[in-house]
Amino acid sequence: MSTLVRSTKTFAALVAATTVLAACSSSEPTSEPTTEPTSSATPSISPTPTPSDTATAEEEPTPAAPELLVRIDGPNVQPNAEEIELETGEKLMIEIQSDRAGELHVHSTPEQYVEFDAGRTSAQLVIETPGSVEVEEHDTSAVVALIEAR
Amino acid sequence: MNQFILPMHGLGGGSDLPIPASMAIAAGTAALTLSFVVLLLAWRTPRFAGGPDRQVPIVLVRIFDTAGWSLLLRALGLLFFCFMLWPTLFGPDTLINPIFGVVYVWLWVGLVPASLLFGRFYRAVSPVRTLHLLVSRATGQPPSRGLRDYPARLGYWPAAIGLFAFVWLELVSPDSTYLGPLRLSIAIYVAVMVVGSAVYGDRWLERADPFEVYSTLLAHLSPWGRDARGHLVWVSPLRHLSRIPADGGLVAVVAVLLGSTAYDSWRDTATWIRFLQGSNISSTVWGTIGLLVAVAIVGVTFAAASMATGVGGVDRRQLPGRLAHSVVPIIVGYMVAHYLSFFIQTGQLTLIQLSDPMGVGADLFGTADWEVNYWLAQNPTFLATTKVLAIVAGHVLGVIAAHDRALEVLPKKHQVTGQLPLLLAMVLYTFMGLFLLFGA
Repeated sequence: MSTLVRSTKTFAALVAATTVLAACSSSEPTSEPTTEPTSSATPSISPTPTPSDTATAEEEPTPAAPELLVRIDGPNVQPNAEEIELETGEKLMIEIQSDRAGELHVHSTPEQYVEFDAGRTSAQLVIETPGSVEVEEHDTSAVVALIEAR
Repeated sequence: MNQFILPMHGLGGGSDLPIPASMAIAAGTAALTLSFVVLLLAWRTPRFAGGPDRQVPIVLVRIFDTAGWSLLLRALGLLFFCFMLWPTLFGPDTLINPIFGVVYVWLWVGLVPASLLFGRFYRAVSPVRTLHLLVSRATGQPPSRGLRDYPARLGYWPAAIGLFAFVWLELVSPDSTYLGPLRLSIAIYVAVMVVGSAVYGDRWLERADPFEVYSTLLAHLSPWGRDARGHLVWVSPLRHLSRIPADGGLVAVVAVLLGSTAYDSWRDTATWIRFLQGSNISSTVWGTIGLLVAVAIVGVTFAAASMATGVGGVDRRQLPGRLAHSVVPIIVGYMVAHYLSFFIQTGQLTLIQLSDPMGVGADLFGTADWEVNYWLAQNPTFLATTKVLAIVAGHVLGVIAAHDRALEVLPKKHQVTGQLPLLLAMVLYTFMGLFLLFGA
């Protein structure tokens, strides 16, 4: 199913989801990375809001690790459906620069969500099941990436 | 928490990986070669027209050709319909509501295997046909009798329009997974079918009910046939296929079915998504145009190719309709290729959701805590092979069906060369199908 239809399909469900996710993750931008090791239903993403300090050269072993840079400026969401190839189990680094809080919706099997706040957010994404996966900015339904996970 | 997370695997999740290029090329070559093998080496006198049917074993007749059996199927169909009214009317307006999966997966996709295996599946369980039978019984009229006769010139056109409306709702409308619009669509469907069958008798359902028409077309590839007296008989699937009545609008029906499936592939491509996101015009408008273009491409190429042949005394304009049945196997091949994983995986999710139709934590049928098996997605090579085989098999059956009909309708000296344009059109469909599966 395509983005457009799928996005509307999931919209209502998302409302419920966002509420739940919002309840899970601490809403104030603390310096602590908000990981949820307890809830098994929360997908394998740890959105780590890193306000201002970009120099976090964390455990990023491979220099050419696949990366997705998302820029959100009001209704403008970039990139426009960037194609990314990924191995299953491989980490995709996501950098989000946004002027508002929001959520990326990853249509993988099972579905995953990346929450972000205004400012800069770094996150990691791992796709476990092979497939073509759309990454969609929820508010605008804009597809920022098409991941081919093999 | 699972309560909330589960439904979002929704009518989507990850879609299939593109098939490998080598596989697409191999399948394309096979389709092309086999087409010419059929054309040059196959029989020279029509085989599927006429011919005797075989008796169904009497044991099976005693079970499946009885009033009791059809009554049972009708009761089950109506019961399920009434059960689904509950979440449709009062259920949550989210994807945990099983009505979405029941309509878009179980009905629309599930109709294909059900009709191929069991024959006229939707006709047997159709709640609108059952309602019509009940109304007829109440008024003491035979079900075939309406206020007036069904106009023959309408042919399959009402079904073509209904099918287009359905695929538009599924593939283009931004509202397809909101409960309100789906509820409205179901209400319109039931109303049009019940009123239409009261006016025109049950012929209306055979020519205007999109699901019954689709299911009955596919049932012509099943071995379960009915002879002239309405008795259950065994028919070879290709002979059965050749019995699809060539009423007006048949080309439109197959064009909507094949074109919409192709469009469903196309709209997932990066090219189309980027184009839509870069455009100022709404994606609903572009989607409608895209769907119409896909359907028109199939319809126009098919009509043109089947008419582009040397004909003696044959009326050219009748040829597309007389050959249109040969597209049905191609539709099946493409439906399998396109919807197999969706049907298996989202179909399971629907079964899980059905136990808790209101999303309140119920477990009516004991399926609520089942988990979806993603074996197909985890075995992409198997999946890709199956898809490619389905496409090639559908293509070859289509070519054989067209060949046999061409022997029947074309004058002797054009019987081979006259098939060429249609053969090329079918090769074109198959190449386009493979190209879309390859990822366009």
